[in-house]
Amino acid sequence: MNASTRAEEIAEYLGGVRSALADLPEQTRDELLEDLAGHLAEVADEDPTPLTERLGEPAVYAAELRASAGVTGSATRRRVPFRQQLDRLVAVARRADVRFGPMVGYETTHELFDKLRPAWWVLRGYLAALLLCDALLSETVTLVPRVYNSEFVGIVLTLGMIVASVWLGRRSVRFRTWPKRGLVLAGLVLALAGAVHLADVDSDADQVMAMNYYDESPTTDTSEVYPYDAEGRPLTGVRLYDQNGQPLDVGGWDCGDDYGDGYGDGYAPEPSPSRAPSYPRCPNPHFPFPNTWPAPDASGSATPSPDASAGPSGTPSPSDSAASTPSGSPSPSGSASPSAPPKHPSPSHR
Amino acid sequence: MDTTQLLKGVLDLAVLAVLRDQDGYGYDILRRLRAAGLDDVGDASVYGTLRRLFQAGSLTAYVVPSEEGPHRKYYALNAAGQSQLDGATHTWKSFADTMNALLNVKETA
Repeated sequence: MNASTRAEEIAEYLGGVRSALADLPEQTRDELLEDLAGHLAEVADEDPTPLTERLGEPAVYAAELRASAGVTGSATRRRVPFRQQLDRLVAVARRADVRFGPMVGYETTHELFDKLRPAWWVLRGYLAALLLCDALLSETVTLVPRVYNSEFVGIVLTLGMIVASVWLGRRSVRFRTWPKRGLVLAGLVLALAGAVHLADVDSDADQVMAMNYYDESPTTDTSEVYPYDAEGRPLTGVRLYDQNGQPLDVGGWDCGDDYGDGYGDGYAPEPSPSRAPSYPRCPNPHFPFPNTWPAPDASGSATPSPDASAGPSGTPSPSDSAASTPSGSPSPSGSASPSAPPKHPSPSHR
Repeated sequence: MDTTQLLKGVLDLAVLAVLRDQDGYGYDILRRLRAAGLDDVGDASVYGTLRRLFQAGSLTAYVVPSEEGPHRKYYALNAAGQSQLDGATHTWKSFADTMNALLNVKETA
């Protein structure tokens, strides 16, 4: 052991004895401790074995010192300043440390924590990577750090941080007091931030579950349906039903002109008792739309609607209709194609 | 029987005896006790005993400054300590004789 760590060890031992004697009057305690510093220095010089091995745990040494010096606790309960109360707490902690050690399998509890320290270094590296990605490099809150949506880069970063943390951990054994304390504080902050992050991820996961159960209907951005038949003629009063025989109910009843675009100035009629709305819902002076949308169906003609005479001025389907439904067309030359002459003479009669 | 139990009773006597011929400081006294054969004496016990004897007025103390290390506190037997030592030695001798007789141990003169 080099000189500075030895000196630290002595200081730590001294502190341990001091706090174990925290309940004594200050003068008594100072006298008892007065010789101890010198004694520790001489013992340390002579013997490389750790002080706690050679002399026993500080609390034990303090007890023996107290007993052989014939000292009892202070008879008068003076007002104990904060520092002494703190010392007392530390003394209690030390006693508990020794007391519960065997329960976890070691002489003192802090021995177990010392052995677990490398595991903390690994966890620390992971938390650092996680929080770095969460704060700066990623938009989502995740458990596997992601760097701009790349899990692979995130994992590489995590491994790098873990290595760095372990390296730092090994070097920090030789740090002085204040750097050590800074590291402990940073570790606490990291652990706290990690816990908060974990709570975040947890509540997000909860919400996703909820959303999955919440809304099973398809997205309804649709608020109106404009039906056309196969020949591109607009239809009104159309009722639509889904595969379960349920009426398709899209949009709302309000045909008010919220957006000032000229559409829909009235209200849709009340739904029929069967609750099947008919489409288009709202009266729309622009329907049918003057574009060529939808394109006329090229494969054949369907049953013309009774008011086919009010049909579009667009080209009806060319009466190449040999392949079309035979039952469908009554005399195509008649009312079927009102405006445009058929391209071919219709071979309709079979 | 564990010697530590026996030691507790006579540590005062042992410490006074060590200081009879020569003054000493804590660690030095400890070493002398161990050299005399009392291996089990604990460091804390020696220091505690020194303090108690000092409080009781059997010892005087003075500090010797040192260049390398911390200053050392030397203890010395004073008149009261000397008479305490004499009395305790007498008590020990008679006690030891009694015990030896009880145990049929040959006297070590």
